[in-house]
Order: sequence, then C-alpha cells, then structure tokens
Amino acid sequence: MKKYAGIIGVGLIAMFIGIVLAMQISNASSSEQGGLVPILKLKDYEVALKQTRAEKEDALEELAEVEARLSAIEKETAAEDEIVKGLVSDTERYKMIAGMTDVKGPGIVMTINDPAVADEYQEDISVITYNYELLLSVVNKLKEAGAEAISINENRIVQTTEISLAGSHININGTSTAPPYEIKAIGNPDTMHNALTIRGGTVDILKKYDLKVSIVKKQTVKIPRYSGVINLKYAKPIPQE
Amino acid sequence: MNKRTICIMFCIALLVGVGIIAQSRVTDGLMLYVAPSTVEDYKSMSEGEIQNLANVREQIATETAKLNEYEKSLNDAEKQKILDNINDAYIKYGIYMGKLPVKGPGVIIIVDDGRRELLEGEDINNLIVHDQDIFMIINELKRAGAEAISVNGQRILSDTSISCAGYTVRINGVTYARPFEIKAIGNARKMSSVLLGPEGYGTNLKDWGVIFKLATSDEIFIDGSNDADNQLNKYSKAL
Repeated sequence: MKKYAGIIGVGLIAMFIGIVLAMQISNASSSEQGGLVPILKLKDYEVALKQTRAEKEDALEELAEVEARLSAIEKETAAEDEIVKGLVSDTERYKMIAGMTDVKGPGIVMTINDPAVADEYQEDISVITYNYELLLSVVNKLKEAGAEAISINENRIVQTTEISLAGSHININGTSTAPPYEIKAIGNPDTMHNALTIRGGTVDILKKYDLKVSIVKKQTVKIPRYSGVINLKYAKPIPQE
Repeated sequence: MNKRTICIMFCIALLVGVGIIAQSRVTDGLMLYVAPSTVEDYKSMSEGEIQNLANVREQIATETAKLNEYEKSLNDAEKQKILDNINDAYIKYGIYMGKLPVKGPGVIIIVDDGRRELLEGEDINNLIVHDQDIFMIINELKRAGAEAISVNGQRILSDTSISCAGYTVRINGVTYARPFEIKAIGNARKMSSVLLGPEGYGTNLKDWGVIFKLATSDEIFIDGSNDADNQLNKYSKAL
C-alpha cells in the first residue's frame, strides 16, 4: 500500500491542477461578452492613444504659436487707436474666461472609475457611463463651489459643453471619452473638496453605485484649453446704441 | 516515499498555489485580465482624441490663413482686414462667454410644477421641478447645439451652477422660483426633437406630470450677463 501512496498523491494534485485549468478556460470563454481580455492585448490601444495625444499636444503648440503671431500683429495695429486697443484687450480677457487658454492653479483632481469586475457573471456595462448625469452633477457641484476651470479627461468644460450618452461611451464637447473619468478643477481646494464630500453629498451618492472615487487636493492643477471649433451659426449680435 | 518524491510534490503544490493566486487576481480586473469593455473604452478614448486633433488642425488652418491675410494687408494703409478681424473676434468671444446680448432662432421652454391631483400615497416631489431637471434640460439643449441659453433671463455662462435652495433654485447666485423660462438660440428643430422625442427629457417630465411647454421662434433675444465680465480668476493663472 505504501508503495502507491505517492502515486495517489500525485494523481490528486494532477486532478486539482486540471480543475484550476478548466476554471481558467471557462473564465475566458463562458461569459456572454467574450470573457475577460488579457491586459497585454490592451497595449496596442494604449500606444495608439498615447500617440494621438502626443500629436494633439504638438498641434496645440503649433496653434498657440500661430495665435501668438496673430495677436502680435493685432496689437501692433491696435496701438494706433485707443478703441481698437480696448477691443483687443477685451477679446483677450473674453478668451480666457471662455476657456480658450491653458490655465493652472490650486485645485482638486477627482477620479471616478467603475467598480472592479467581480465575477464572470456580472453584466459588462459601465455604471458611471450609463449614469452620466452623475458626472453632470459633479460638475454642477464644482461650479457651485466656485471652480474657475474644469476638465473631464482633458476636455475643458466651456459654455457649450454637453455630457451625453452615445452608445456605450459618453460624449463631451462632441468627442467620445471613457472611464476612468479624471475631473480636474481649479479653485479653492478645501471648498471644493468639502462641498463634494459632505455627508449624503455627491461622493456618497457615487459610492452608492459602488464606484471607485478618489479626490486629491493639489497645489497646481493644469487644465488644457478648449480644443473645439467655435462656430456661431445662429446667434447673432444685437447692435448696441 | 523518498526525499525526491517529496521534493517534486512540494514543487507541484507550489505551482498550484501560484495558480490559485493568479486566478484570484483575475477577479480584481487589473492584474492580468480586464473586462472586454476596457478595450471599447480605449477605442472611444482614441476616437475622441482623434476628433480633438482634427479640431485643432482645423483651427490651425483657419488661423494660418488669417495670418497670411494679415501679412499681406500689413502694407496697406488702412489695415481694414485686421481691424475687421479684431472686431469679429471681439463679437465672437463676447457672445461665446456670455457678455454680449444675442438674437437668433431657437426655442422657448416653460417648465412648471405639475398641477394635477396627487395619486394616493404619491410623493409630491414627482410633480415639482428640481434643480436637476433644469440642468438636464440645459445639457440636452447643448447636446442639440444651443449657442446661447438663459434661464429666467440669467445667461448660462461657462461657470454657471444651478442649485436647489429649498423652495427656490439659485442660478448665478440669484434666486428664482417656479415657473422657469428657458430660452435657447440654435437649431430650433434639432433642439425640440431632442427634448420632445420618445425618450426625450421633456417627454419624461410630461409623463411624470410636470408642466413642460416648448415653442419655437424665429427670433429670440437673450440678454448679456455682466457677471461674465466680473468673473474673477483668483486661482487660475494663464500658462
């Protein structure tokens, strides 16, 4: 009997390994959405995204250069006339208020992410994307708390910014974005932090949906300019007397 | 059982242990495997950034064209082109940030608390207009491309918040009570179809019993806001 004890032991272990393997395989194929995806597959997408972002940065720099040259000529021309000079300096201020310049200052960085995939039976939907009104509510609360500039995933919140559900992702400023949502806001960090974390407030509501939320106060937050095109087709000025 | 067998068994047990750990890590969704939706997320992010890039490129093209014009007209005595552009930019950004009054086609929406009898045990909140309803309507209007919006005469600016203050709603720090009149300039047909479509927010409100009226108009006037210009940038500095 003693002779076979080792073989039986090994046999049991082999069976156990078999079960583990089987579980592993079923994990990858049984769920409706095609199961879980190896993280390695994501690398390609990550690289592509990084590339596009870098390209965008370059393009924005180029744009800033052209704009600087334009405004230099405008200023030169304006120097001769007080009224024109006023117009130019007003326009500069309007552009900053409208969100046409990169800004930095103290503020907070808030990250909202979906709950982790708990098991293979869980429906593969993004909680925060389908409840995008929560994002709207966060933005509204931040404005209420005196935020001067806000961005979600580097999309600047401006006067015409919408947040809307488009299929399985959300659109901000007409361009698509996806979780995790990183919301940056410049303003008084304490006021904004405390306005969001009040008991029963926005963060508590987010946590009711099992979302992963973090808020970090920062000394310097950089928020990019609005990168969309402003094209007023319908709104016309009213001539002032 | 000799020492060798024990050694082998130990190694196998170790392997199994590692297997189990790896398995449990999978459920964390971060270590080895991720949900398939993550791939979709990356795709949408990339799409968004490509769109942004295209937008920026478009702007570079228009601005460069302008620059060329400028350089040509620098030699002109009048420099009319440059002066025109300065004026255009002033009006464009003045409207966009909310300082200048505007007119144009659009929609006028009236939202008011429902007046029907409450059903037995029904919550009165079902019939009341909340701050969230107002900002959802505004969001839908923006989605449909609204260019200027006002609520009860208050221009909606980039930093306008709408908050509930008991029985009233506070917009730009000014308190308003029902009814709410929302004016929006833009594509009237698009805006009304977004709000009044089968799944539209206006339709939803109506189903609850809240009063929601929408009228389109060829010419709507929206006042400018003095707050826009007074917006202090205490914290943010231009880069």
